[in-house]
Amino acid sequence: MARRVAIVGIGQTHHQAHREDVNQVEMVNEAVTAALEDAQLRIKDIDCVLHGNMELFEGVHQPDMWHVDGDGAYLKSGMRLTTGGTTGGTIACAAYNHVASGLFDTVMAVGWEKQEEGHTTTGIAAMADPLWDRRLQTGAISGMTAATMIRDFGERAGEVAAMVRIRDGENASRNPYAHLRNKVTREEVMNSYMLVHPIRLLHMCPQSNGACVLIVASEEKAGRITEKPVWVKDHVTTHMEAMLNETILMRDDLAEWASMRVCARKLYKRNGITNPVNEIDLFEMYDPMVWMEMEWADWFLLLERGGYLKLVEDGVTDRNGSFPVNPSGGVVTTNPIGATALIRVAEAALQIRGDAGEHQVDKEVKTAMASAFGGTFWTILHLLSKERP
Amino acid sequence: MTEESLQEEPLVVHGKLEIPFKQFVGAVASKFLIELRDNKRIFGMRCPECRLVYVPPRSICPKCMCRMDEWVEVSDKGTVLTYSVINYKEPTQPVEPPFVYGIIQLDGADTGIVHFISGVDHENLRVGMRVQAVFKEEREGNILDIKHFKRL
Amino acid sequence: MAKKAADEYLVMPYLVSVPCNFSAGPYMGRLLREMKEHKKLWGNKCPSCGRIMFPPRAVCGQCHGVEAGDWVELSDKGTIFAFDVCYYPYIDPSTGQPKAVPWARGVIQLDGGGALIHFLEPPDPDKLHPGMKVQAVWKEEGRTGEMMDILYFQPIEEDKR
Repeated sequence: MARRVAIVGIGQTHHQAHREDVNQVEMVNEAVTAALEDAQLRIKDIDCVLHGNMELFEGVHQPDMWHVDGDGAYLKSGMRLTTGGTTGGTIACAAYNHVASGLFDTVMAVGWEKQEEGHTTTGIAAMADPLWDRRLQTGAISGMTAATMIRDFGERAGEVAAMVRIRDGENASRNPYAHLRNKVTREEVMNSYMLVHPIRLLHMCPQSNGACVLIVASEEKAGRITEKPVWVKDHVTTHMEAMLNETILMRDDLAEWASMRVCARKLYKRNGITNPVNEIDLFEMYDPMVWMEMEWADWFLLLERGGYLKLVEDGVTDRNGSFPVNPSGGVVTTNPIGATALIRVAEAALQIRGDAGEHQVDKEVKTAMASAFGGTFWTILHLLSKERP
Repeated sequence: MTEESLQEEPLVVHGKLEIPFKQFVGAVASKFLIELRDNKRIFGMRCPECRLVYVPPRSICPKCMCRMDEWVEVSDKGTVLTYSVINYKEPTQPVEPPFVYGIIQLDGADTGIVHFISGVDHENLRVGMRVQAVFKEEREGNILDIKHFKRL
Repeated sequence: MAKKAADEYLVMPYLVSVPCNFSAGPYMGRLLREMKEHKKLWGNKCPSCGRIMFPPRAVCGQCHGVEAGDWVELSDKGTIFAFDVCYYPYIDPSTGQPKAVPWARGVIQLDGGGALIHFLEPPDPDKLHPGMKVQAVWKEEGRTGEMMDILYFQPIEEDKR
């Protein structure tokens, strides 16, 4: 029987396009220091440090070795995890597992990326297999999802895409850690530079430099560390096939097998949830572009195709709506990839704690969900709760 | 298409990974490298808690997990802690073999710095030998602004 | 010596240039050999779920490891399922150079079964559409046994939108 695990410390850097003043180690240390400060702990209280990012973004092999200088792992147990865009989510899962298993009491999870040191799309393209797909990549920027949304919903899809981006910009303007904090207008979204047809610049996430750190602890330790533990109720990971042509075809022919749908069903079944929009208070979703949110949210939330469009149009997903999505501003405003999935969990936890400051949602948050996306369309979901499970 | 066809000689696809990166060294390392480039001076950083002097300098002491900002100039002379003679060729090497790597503790530093030792017959290399940095005439702001260390 | 750290921030340029030799394995190897020598595409079938796997492989992942069955010769004509036209000149990790833009790729469902992603010509969103019939254009000379032995797919007929 697994022990109960709570998030007791949260730290982030101020995510930015340029961090020329620090090297990777120093940047990571900023988030580590912030998390220790938040938890009122010293590094000696941490038993184990988990570390992750995507190596081909900075070109440093096994950077966890170098990062011992700044992440506090000196002479401690630890592990490096790297699973593409889901890296931050995997580290959060691993942190939970390390504590729930009884092996460690207090574990620090470090996710980071210094995107400006490399080439984001190049790094993502190199994830494709070298025998076949690698020369044919557009990185994360594929218009195929958008094309099917436009096929099914016409101009309405483009309008909702702009609404999602406007909502994220509004939320990010209230989040001091977000990267792109400017509010945007419909015209700015519709007229922004075309990257890959029909994806425009403002539909897509930026390339950010940043780090995020979570400290998790066993139930016993958590009670001594904080008055506001955020309980990790559950997490589920669902992988997909590597060949991209098949992953994409999943959507139409065999859409039942999208990893988002399978992952969500598993999570809900294990936690007795039948109506997620009503039973979960908030969703920090990993959507690298607004079009993906529009499609995947139907799968995550067990809606009919197009159901999510209506939720956005009705303001349900706004910060003061009944089912806020990405009150942090989401991935479309902040994306240091190795950290991004961890930031989803961190931001969901901040909301449960009531510590999100100006971007705190209006309603009380008792249960929150965070998703991670990566590689060839695989998914991680976390379920967090205010009440002890 | 039969089982036999699967026994054929394996096919190998020749590929390449080629990506240009740029790594920001940070403000502290920048200062260290600028001092090498502009003034041919070598600096370390002292930890306020454990008092160790790190060369090259960094901003965080890994043992104490604290920020450091006390700059300490160290000598361009030091002692060889250990060395290794490289005889084989690899594409990633900065110079043609044979060449010598040494870990050198500069006077005033508590850590060793990795660099080349040059101009010494390999039989005469010794742990504990005294060496001195030889700077390049044209310097760019990287560790190879020191060309190598020579025997004192 | 001033305590302040630098105002000038240095950056180290650093080129990762690593030649790699990837073993194709007997299944992929067979496909690439057939492409090189005969301009043919082959997939294989999962005996459990019946799907045609392209590129061919040893096991069906979706059936969690069922060993692949019969080889199936596939057409080099198909239908566009979805496509991308890229305007963003990112650096190709196989060359270290920016890709020439615009270029297009599509998921193409091959007639009779199997699907692949490949380049499409022309790279113009007004001249391509899902459902369009396309045909592979092969390299006539100098095929080496890689996916670039097909140069691209192009529309078979003038297709009005």
